This record gives sequence, C-alpha cells and structure tokens, in this order.
Amino acid sequence: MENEVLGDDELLQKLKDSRRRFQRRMQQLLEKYNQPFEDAPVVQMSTLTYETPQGLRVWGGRLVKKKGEGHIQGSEEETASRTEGPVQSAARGDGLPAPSARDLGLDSTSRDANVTSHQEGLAAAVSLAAAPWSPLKDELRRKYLSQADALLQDAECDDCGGGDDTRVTLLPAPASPPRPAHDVAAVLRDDSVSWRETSGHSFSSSQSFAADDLCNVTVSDLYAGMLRSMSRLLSVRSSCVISTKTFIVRARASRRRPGGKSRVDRTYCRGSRPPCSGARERPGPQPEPGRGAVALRECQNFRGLAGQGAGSTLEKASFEVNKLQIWKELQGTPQKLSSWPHRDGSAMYRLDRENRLMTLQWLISPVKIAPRPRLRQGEGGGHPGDLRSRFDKLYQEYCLSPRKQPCLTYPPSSSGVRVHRGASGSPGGPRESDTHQPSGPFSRAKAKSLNEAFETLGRRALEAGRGLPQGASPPPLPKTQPSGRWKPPPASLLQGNGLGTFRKSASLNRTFSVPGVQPLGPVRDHYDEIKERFDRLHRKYCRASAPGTEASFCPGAPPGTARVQVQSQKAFSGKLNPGSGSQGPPKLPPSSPRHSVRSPLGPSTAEVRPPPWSAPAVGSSSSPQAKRLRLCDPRACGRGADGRGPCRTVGGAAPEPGEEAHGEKR
Amino acid sequence: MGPRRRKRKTETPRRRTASPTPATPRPTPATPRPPPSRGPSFRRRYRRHLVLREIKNLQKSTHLLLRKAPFCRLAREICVKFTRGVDFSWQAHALLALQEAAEAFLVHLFEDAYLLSLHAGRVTLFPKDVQLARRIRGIEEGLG
Repeated sequence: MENEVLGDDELLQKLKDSRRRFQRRMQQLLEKYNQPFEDAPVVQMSTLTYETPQGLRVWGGRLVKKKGEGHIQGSEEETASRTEGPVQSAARGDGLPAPSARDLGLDSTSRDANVTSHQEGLAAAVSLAAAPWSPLKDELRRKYLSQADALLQDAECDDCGGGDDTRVTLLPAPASPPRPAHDVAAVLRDDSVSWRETSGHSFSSSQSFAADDLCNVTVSDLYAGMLRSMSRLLSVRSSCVISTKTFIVRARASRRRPGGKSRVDRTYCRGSRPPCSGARERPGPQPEPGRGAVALRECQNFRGLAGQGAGSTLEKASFEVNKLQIWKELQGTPQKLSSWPHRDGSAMYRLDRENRLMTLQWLISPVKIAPRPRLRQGEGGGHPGDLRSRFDKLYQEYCLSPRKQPCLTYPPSSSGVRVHRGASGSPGGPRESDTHQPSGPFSRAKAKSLNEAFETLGRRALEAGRGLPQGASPPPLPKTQPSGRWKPPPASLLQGNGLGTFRKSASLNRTFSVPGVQPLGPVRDHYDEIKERFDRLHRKYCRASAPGTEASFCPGAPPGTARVQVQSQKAFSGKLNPGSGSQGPPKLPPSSPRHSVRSPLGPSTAEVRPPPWSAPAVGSSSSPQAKRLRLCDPRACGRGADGRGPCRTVGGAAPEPGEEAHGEKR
Repeated sequence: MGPRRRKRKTETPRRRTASPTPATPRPTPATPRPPPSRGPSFRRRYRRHLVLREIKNLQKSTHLLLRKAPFCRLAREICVKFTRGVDFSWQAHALLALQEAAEAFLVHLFEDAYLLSLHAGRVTLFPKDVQLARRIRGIEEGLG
C-alpha cells in the first residue's frame, strides 16, 4: 500500500511529466494541421458525407453513392479496418490517409481514359503522400495546376500531345517538394515536360500561321477603327477647323500618279475602288479640283463620321460627278458611275473601305477640314447628313423659290436667347420671355432654316434699302405655312431700329451652337455677308431715320432690349398661335395687343409686348398695305416721345391694327 | 501516449511455462482467448493481464481512439449551437484535427486523474478524481 501511495512530490512530478507530454503532443498536432489543406474533402455536416473519387461516402462510414465503378462497403469490419489504416497513418502525421488514399493509389497505376478522374486521383495521391506542405508550396501548386488544366484543355482541343500520360500535368519541375511518394512526382514531372514540349510545338505552328496573315494586313485595316473614332472626335470638336482647300487640292494634284500602280493605290484600291468611267479620269479633275476636293473631303470626313459605307444615292448629280472625278484621281483606276447607287454587299464593302481610307488620308494630311455634310437620302446616319439634306431642301425651297419663307420656331431656352438676355441687362427691357416662348424643341434643322431665312431677309433688306422710299408702305408679308411659327418680318420693316435688332438676331443664330454640330463654312460666309449688309443698311437707315426713329428708341435701353423684344415677340406669337391656320405666325390674337397695352409698364411684363414691326403684321391678313406701321411712322414715333420707350409706343400703336383685324374677323 | 518504447514481444499470459523461443510479436488479440476454467482468482488475474496488455497496446498505438462518425455528430451538435442552426461544412482535416486534440486532452486528463486516484490510495478512477484534476489545472486548462 505504501508503495502504491504516491508521495506529494512524486505526484507533482508525475503530474508535471504528464503535462509536459501533453504539451508536446499538442505541439505536434499544431505543426501537423497548421496548413490550408485546400485539396482535402469537405464534409457536409448536414449529411456527414463527403465526396470521394469513388462517390459519396459517409464520414467514418461506408460508401453511400457509387460513382463510376466503385464498390459499396458493406460490413463494419471492413469499415473498421479501412478506417484503422488511414487513422494510423493520420496519427503518424502523413496527412489524410482516408480510404481515398488506397483508392487513389490504385488509380495512380491504372491507365484511365478519363483524364479528369486520373488527374484528380493523382493530385489527391500526391497531396496525401506528401509531407506537410507550406502554404507557399500549396499556392504554387495550385497555380500550376490551374495553368496546367487550362493548357490541357487547349491541348485537347488542338489534339496535340500523345496519349493520356502526356496530358497529365500536375507538378512543374522546380516546384515538386521532396516527398515520400517521389516516384509519383517524378512520373508526373516527366509527363508535364513532355506535354509542354508538344504544346509548345503546336503553339509555334499556330504562331507561324498568324504571321502569314499579318503580312497581308495593311495600315488602314489595322487602324481602321482607330481612325474612325479619331475622325469622329475631331469632327465633334469644331475649334480646330482649318480650311486650306488650295493646299489640299495641290497636294492631291501632286499625288496623282499616272500609272496608278503605286503602293498607295494598291493599298487603297484593293477591292475597294468605287467604279467610275475611265474616260473622265484625266480631263475632269482639272477644272474642278476645288469642288471635287471639297467634296472628297466631305466624303472623307463625313464617311469617317458616319462610319457607314452604305451605298446611298446623292441628291445632286454634279456633286456626284465631282466626287467621282476626285475619287478617280486618287484611285487612279477607272470607275463606273453606274455602280455608285447600287446597294449591294460589294459596294458597301468598298465604300466602307473607302471611308476608312479617306479618313486615313484626311488624318494624315496636316490640316483639318470642316466636314461638309454629305447628301444622304434615306440614310439614318449622323446629324451632319440630316442637316445637310435639310439645308439643301431649304435652300432649294427658299432660295430657288423665293416666295416661300421658312417657318421658324424659336427655342424655349436657347443659348442665344440667354446670351441676349445676358447682354441686354436693361431693367426696362423685356426679360421674362421664358414663359411665353413656345414649348417646341429647337432642332438643328430649324437653325439651318433660320439661317436661310435670314439670308433671304438680307437680300430683301438690300432690295428694300435700295428701292423703298421712306414713306412708302412696305411690301406685304407673304403668307406662310401654318401656325405656331414665327415669320420673320420683311426687310422693309426692319428699318432703323428694326434692322439693328434683326442684325443682332442674325448674329444670335451664331450663338445657337448646338454641341456636336459643325458650323457650315459656306453658311458662315453667307452670314458674314448678311451681317455686313445689315450693318450697312443699319447705318444708312439709322442716319436716315435718326430724327424720327430715335424717339422710338428707349434712350436708356441698350440694343439688347429691342432684341429681346424681338425674341419675346416671336416666342409669344409662336405660343399663342398654335393652330391659327393660314393666317400666319405673326398673327396675334386680337386681344394680345390690348393685353400688352393694358399690362403695366415695367420690365416684368415685357413678354406680352409685341415688337413694333410685328404689330402691323397682325393686320396683314386683312389689309397688309394699309395697316402695317413702320418704325418711322410718325404715329409710332410720336407716341414714343412720351419717354416710355418703344414698348409703350408699340403698345399704343398696336391696338389699331389689332382692333381692325379683330373687327374684321368678327 | 507514453514514452516511446521499442517494440518488444508481447507477453502472453503463460502459466508456469516459459516459451523456449522468444515469441514473435503477436498482435493484440481482438478476441482474447477464453480463460481456462480454473477458478475465479485465475479469472481475475487473467483479466488483469488482459487489461495490462490492452493498456500497453493502446499506449503504443497512435491511431484515433474514438469513432469518427459519433465524434462528427458531436461536433455538428456543438457547431449548430454557434452557427444558429446553420449546418456548416467542415474539412476532413479539420475534423481529424479536432478529434486528435480532443483525444489528447482526454488522455492527459485521465492520466492526471489516475495519478490522483493512486495518490488517494485507490486504483479505481472515480469522478472526483477527474474533478480534482480539472481543478488543479485551473480554469483555462481544466475547467475551460
């Protein structure tokens, strides 16, 4: 008994020993399991099962679901024996010696047709047989495995490499750690090397094929997309527009080559020449290089912008001819006119290539040209096309047929109007024209039509300035299209102050710079001309009507107020005449002049005061010649002498024609 | 768990006989031989020998002593309490690590408890021995 009874010291000593052993054991376990074990199977705690190459297996139990040719473990003894083996190996610290290890060991020697299963088996075997890995090694291995998988898929697709053994790639040579199962690793390494060789060979062969194709690629093909995008960007930005037509013409003339078999031509013309007749190749370009160059430039820029090579028909035959001629020059090959409007696939392809080539040439040229929108009928490409078509239409309508006048609607809040308002800055001038402006959106087409209208007005102003005496009644306003639109008053009305306002309103159009729309060069020139004419007329009539019309001016009001009045009147008339029919835009409702008169004076009510020259237009429908008042009318001027400005003057004068018109209507 | 011992011959209970040749290491008999029918004292000694043998064998081995499925069910039961009823997935190595750690802890606890039992003059392990062992260890190691 005494022997059996432990002393305190002995007890403590034994307790210490036991503790020491326990700590050592725990340290071993920590070292053993301090790894990511990314390849380890995951046990579903809901079912206590995990996936194995053989199928679904219960944790610590039998095989639940067979996978492939696995066998189901039936007896508990088998289970115990199987678990004992792997458990012992696990206890020794060899990793997960689960039953899968035995199965995988068998798989490593077998030759399966299924590459994936073979891969998985080998991977598991390697992982199981390995010593505890470091996280870095696992990461490297994982990386290589993923790469190998990807390459393996490519290799399978390309049918490169020899049997299944060569496709097995698991371990790269440098990353194979020393393991007890080094035999397996060595086999895998060799396989990976051999596979790599085969894959590299296939890769090199594919590269050689690509090189041949690369030789046939031209610069335009390579940078077609880039050029297109660049051309679009450049076309959007109008700040750097330089027109050097002569330079371009000369450059193109110098580039003309008689042979037509230069590299450039070859590049441009490979399968993409727009057909043209050969007879016109030489003589045509000489007299019209400028036009053709411009047309070609337009084509370039616009095609580059549109990016479309659809065979669209051009409106003007001369335009087409010019373009074709210039095209011939560049291409140096005979072209046919007939195939231009054809919309077949080859033409489209050729046109597309032409676009790209032209954009390339345009970009290569050191100057940037303002693109003239090409005429494209029925094509929904880009705004320049639409604008160009509309411009041409309007030009034909109103320039060629002078009777017609464009119907214009002013924007509710255009930048130009804002500019005007900002510039006016006068307390007496009408400002709150927002509310009475029409609600219709301002379109670029309207701007163009407005430009045309101003052009015609400019011409008329000239005519009126020449031949119209002071006291004569102005010519009648032509009847315009339906309502809701403001008709610009004739030039005769714009005498004195009106001319100045109209001139400024013409300049107003320039401020309607809608983003994304290129201002037209020739239209600008027109504007400049009109502006100059207006200035001259303005000065002329200002001097002429200085004594009579000065009183009608608001002495203290800057010119911007009258401008704003014009705008407001336009807007007001546009708004109030939504469906007035054929009576014309300037037709104000009969109560409007009265309303303007009754409205209290001051800047807040400026919106309801019609401009002086619009008031006579009210009565135009009834008796235009008799009712229209001119600014130099003594009645208007006389009432303006009250000192309240032309607003009041107009307000006073307005009721007369308005009343008359109203009375006649009733 | 004990100190590393070199492999030695298993001592089979022999009565008054000495084997002429050193017996080859025999594995632990899964089913012990039925004791000879000689009396209760003999049976007690036989059982003692069997127990000792079993102790030696178990201390020599390193495999897991608990069954995996029941231990996994226990782990799931405790895990569910902490995951608010959601069944997580465990890596196989995680379950193994947990089981090994648990077995090591229990073995150590039983060692300490049996030492205390021996200190008390007993050879039978009582629950109070286990409780004393946990108390002596302190809160972290024992009571946890």
